Amino acid sequence: MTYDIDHTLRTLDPARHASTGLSDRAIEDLNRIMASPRQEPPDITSTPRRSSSWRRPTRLLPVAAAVAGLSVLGGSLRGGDDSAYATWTAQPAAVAVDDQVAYGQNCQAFWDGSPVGAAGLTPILAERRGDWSYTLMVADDGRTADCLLLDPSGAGGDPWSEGSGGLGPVTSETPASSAVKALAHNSTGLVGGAYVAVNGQVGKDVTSIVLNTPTAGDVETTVSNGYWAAWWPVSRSELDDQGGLTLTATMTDGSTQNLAFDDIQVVPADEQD
Amino acid sequence: MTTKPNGPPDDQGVAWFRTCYQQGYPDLLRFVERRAHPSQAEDVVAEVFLVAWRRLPDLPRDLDGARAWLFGIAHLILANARRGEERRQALAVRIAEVTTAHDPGADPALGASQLDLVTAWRRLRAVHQEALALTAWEGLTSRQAAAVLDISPTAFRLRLSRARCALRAHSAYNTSPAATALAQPKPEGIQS
Repeated sequence: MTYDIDHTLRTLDPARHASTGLSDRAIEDLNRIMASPRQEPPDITSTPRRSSSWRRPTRLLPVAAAVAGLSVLGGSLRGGDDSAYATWTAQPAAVAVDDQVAYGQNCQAFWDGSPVGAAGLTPILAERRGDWSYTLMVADDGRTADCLLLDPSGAGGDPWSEGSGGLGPVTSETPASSAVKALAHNSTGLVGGAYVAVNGQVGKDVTSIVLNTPTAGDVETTVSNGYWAAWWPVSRSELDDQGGLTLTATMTDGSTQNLAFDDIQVVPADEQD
Repeated sequence: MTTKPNGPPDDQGVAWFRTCYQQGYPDLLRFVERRAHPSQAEDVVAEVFLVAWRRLPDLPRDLDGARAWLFGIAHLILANARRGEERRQALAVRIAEVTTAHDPGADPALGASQLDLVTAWRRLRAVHQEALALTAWEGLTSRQAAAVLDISPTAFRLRLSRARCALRAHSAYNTSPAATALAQPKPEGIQS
């Protein structure tokens, strides 16, 4: 017995209902969509000096939204605050060890799809601020790469929706015990807002670092495994006002250092005189 | 850091978006229903159109092109909803259930071939299901289907040819000679 495979396949469409009109739900969604702000997606940024950033490419759109993330994509469809970073906190929340592993896996997956790739990058720092997970990865050659991923469930292992990342300069120098170095200062805009992310290295005697940011006040960093990092949201008009960042580092003996980010930023070897 | 200025959509753009929504919604809903749980379909469709609204200048100005463009967004959203390694794998596509209840008006030959094809379909790799569904059910051209999958048209044609061969290989019945002749893989030597 023979049969036309194409003809038979067409009779087996699993969604062959004949609806051609719009349901009440469809009409409601249309009205909400057209009432929402029609923001044009921002350019992928080149960060100031010696760093480069990358947003996960999506071929057709600037952000990839998970089904579960519908309610947090700008908040436009479901009401509420339109800021993508409305849940951000100046003090980071600790992340359980198991979640740190998941954050790291997500970050590696994020960079794995990039032109840079994730080869050799190992997660060494993870923190959480509101609905966002931040991970810093380091390679043996000193390269750093970070990820800021939307993770409203807080579990780290659930699908993330928006993401952005930045690269830091290659450095193989280990800081002195009381030294603080700055590696990357990345700024990126996403649908719904923009942010600045900074990271660096610390010597073994540095216990904490608080950033004195130009527009977000004092921001506590996460210090872990010889690295420090933090990020804060900014408005688009504030992106050009992020110079002059300073920080206060506290030592094991209780003493403090007040430092200017520009003074401690590492200059890559290929950019040195 | 550079940003593009926000601006109000022009009237023609708004009208075109509304037209695409009204004309494209049913097809897009079916596209999603074939690949995701039905309970999620309307949410995904809403998400696709929200993206399209925010990317209004990129929305193709012909219905056929807009339809395929929206399918591409939906495919990406569904793929990115999965985690880790699964994100880079093809999306499995469902197939209709075939009832074995007695229907006096039913064509028994069609029923038998349908049962055979459903069994064969479920043995296919997701990448082959994807290729077949985009042509058989979404009715896309090779170029459009390739854009949805982010591969070249040549690679898609090769993938489709392999999908047809795989479907036949899993089928218990012989296919018609015409279908067999049409599906012979072209000797292009290009990996998909």
